Amino acid sequence: MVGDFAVGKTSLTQKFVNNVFSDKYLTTVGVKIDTADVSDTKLVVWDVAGRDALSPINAAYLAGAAGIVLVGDGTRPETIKSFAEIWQTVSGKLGDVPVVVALNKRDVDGWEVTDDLLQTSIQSSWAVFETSAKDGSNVPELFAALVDRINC
Amino acid sequence: MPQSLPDNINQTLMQRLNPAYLRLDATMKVTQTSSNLSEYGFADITEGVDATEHIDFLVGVDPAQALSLPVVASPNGHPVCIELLPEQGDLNVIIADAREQFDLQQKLQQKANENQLLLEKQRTLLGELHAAKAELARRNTELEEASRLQSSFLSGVSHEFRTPLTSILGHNDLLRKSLAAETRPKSDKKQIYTDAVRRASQHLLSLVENLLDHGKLDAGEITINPRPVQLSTLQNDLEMLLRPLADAKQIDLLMQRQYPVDESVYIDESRVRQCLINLAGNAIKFTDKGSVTISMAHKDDELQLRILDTGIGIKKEDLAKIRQPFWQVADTGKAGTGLGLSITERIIELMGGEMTIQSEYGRGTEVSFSLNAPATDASINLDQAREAAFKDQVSILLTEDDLDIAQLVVILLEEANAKVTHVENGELALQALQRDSFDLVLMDLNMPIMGGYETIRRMRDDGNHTPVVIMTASALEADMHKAQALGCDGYLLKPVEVADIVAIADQIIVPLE
Amino acid sequence: MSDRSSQIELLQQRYRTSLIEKSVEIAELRIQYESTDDDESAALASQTLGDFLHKLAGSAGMYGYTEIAISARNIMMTLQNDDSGQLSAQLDQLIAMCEQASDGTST
Ligand SMILES: Nc1nc2c(ncn2[C@@H]2O[C@H](COP(=O)(O)OP(=O)(O)OP(=O)(O)O)[C@@H](O)[C@H]2O)c(=O)[nH]1
Ligand SMILES: [Mg+2]
Repeated sequence: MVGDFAVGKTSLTQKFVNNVFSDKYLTTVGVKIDTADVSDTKLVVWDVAGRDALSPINAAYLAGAAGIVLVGDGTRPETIKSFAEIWQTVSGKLGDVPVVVALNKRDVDGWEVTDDLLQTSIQSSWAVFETSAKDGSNVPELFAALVDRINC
Repeated sequence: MPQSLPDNINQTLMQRLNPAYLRLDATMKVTQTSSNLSEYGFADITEGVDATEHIDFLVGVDPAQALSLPVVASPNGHPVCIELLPEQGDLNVIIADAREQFDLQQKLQQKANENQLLLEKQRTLLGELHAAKAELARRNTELEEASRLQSSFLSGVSHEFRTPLTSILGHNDLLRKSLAAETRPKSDKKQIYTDAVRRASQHLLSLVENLLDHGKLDAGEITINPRPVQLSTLQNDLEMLLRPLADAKQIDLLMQRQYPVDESVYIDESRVRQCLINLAGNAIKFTDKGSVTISMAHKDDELQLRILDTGIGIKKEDLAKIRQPFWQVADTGKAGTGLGLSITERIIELMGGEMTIQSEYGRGTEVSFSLNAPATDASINLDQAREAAFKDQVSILLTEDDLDIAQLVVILLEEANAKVTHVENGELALQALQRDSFDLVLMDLNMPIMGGYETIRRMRDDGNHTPVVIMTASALEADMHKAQALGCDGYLLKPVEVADIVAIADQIIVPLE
Repeated sequence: MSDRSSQIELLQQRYRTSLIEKSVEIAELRIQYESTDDDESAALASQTLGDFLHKLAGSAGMYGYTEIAISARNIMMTLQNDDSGQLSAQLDQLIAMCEQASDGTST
């Protein structure tokens, strides 16, 4: 799980793994590891600390990843523009891994995802989901799509 | 540094970090463990098991690569620091306590990220504010532009309308006159039709004038020119104009006058008259029974004007709206542009007054305003005579027995470029006419020795065809048929004004070839 | 020109002062009119009063005393209609108006 800080990486993970959601923001330090079973595949989820202006993603936490969930906040366009820079770090380390994109917080007012933004920030090979960790919409689909891509 | 120190440090650090150890072969099978591994939640790891089945962070990692993971948290157990160190085909895994590091970084990162989020929020709000402001400014200029365009469009259109309308009115008048000349009684209906055309066109014309005024007010083209005006004259004029409207609706038209009878003041008469006609016209329009009162009071150089009616009144919620241009009470079914009141208010403001409206719905309305109106000294104004003056000098024979009137008229007419001979009765007039020739005779009717009619009859009998205009104090007395039959050319009601004499004289004096 | 305005000023002043005399004359004519007992002298008194009011209506208007002019004209109508009830009050009013208008000049 990679993306800017506070976009909902932890929330999506927790929703998927434990089916819980909290409004309170508790930032992730380093990496937090969780596991879940998707059909007969065991998925080990590395929920990596968010990127911010001062600290880029620590590539060490990406080691051994089979796939990437790129998370952005649909109400903060800047977090989607960050995909390009994050992708540099990821592909530098892992090459062309399977990627799914979560445009998160779909339930919040002030959705600011425009066609222009998608055009410039999202690669055509990526699968894009508009998700909400709060109401759970598209969350299982997001992870299922990633597992599919890893397995084939 | 003595050897004892590094040893000491080493020991302390090892105690604090409490590192656990694990050695794997190339297939990730456990070959060696330290006893404190269970303190990190890895209890059932014994030699020979596949490490990736029990330790999640080892899934997928390359045993040939060194890797340093500073802070790793798992669902069970506290945050740890992990070092992977390959060694001769084997992999050393060192797990150490990272709670201190974790707590410190958590606090800092939480604070930093929350601050950053607040900043972003502030930035978006400011952005929205700016956008809203810009939008507002844009709409304002659009509105101003639209209103300017509308004004110039209105005055343009109004102007274009006026000429054809005047032509319609003029031709309709001609039509009426020629119909009147026809003696057939059947033409009655046609007369009604032309009357209807005239009324409608006049209404249209007044609407157009209103629109024009509105445009002029917007463009600042209306100026106020105060001149001496006799208040009683102004109020009498209003009464004459409005009386028929009030009579037609069978309501009373009352005039209140609180000023000395000959009071003259400086105001722009035509503008004041326009406002009063507008307001009183409205009052009559919206009053179906009772009365409309026009009250004028002059005190300390201030003219107070009040129009009071017992009409339908105005609802509280409508009071503010009626002053806006084009607004009309929806359910009254009365015609109009809805411009009258707004124009009136603006003109009043232009004259330095303020219009106040008080009304009780269902009981009536009072509209009032005050104007600065300094009193003038002389009630008779020589300027008027000079302004109305004859173009070429004319000679006039004034036949009038009342010296008060005669002397005044002589002076005024002289000021208006006339040469006046005054006689006091008809007999003296006939003598004067035999001696001299005149362009015009002004004739009083009621005189001693020889009255007006008798004099005119004798004049005509003598073959004298000098134009004669009758001056009389009462309309009853002016028997127009008799006067016409005697070959009289016009008549004036006293008080006569020089301008009226000049106007009527201009019509009837035929220039000599 | 300034000559003419001073002439007018003079005329106006003269007319104003004459209003008090006129009010007296109206009062006298009114007594004559009200004290007649035969038809013939009544008609004559009515005619005299009417003529005087007629002149007054004309001149007062010319000098700007519109109220007086209107009042005089109204009383002429009342005279013609022989409405003696109203006449008395109207004459009172006219006399008062003349006195009042004249008052303004005494200074
Ligand atoms: N309404 C709504 N809130 C969400 C959603 N996802 C996350 N949030 C809220 O967003 C804030 C950040 O969520 P996290 O899941 O902690 O974000 P993160 O990406 O893990 O942040 P870091 O660990 O700091 O990188 C929290 O207050 C969440 O409650 C969502 O889908 N809808
Ligand atoms: Mg997180």
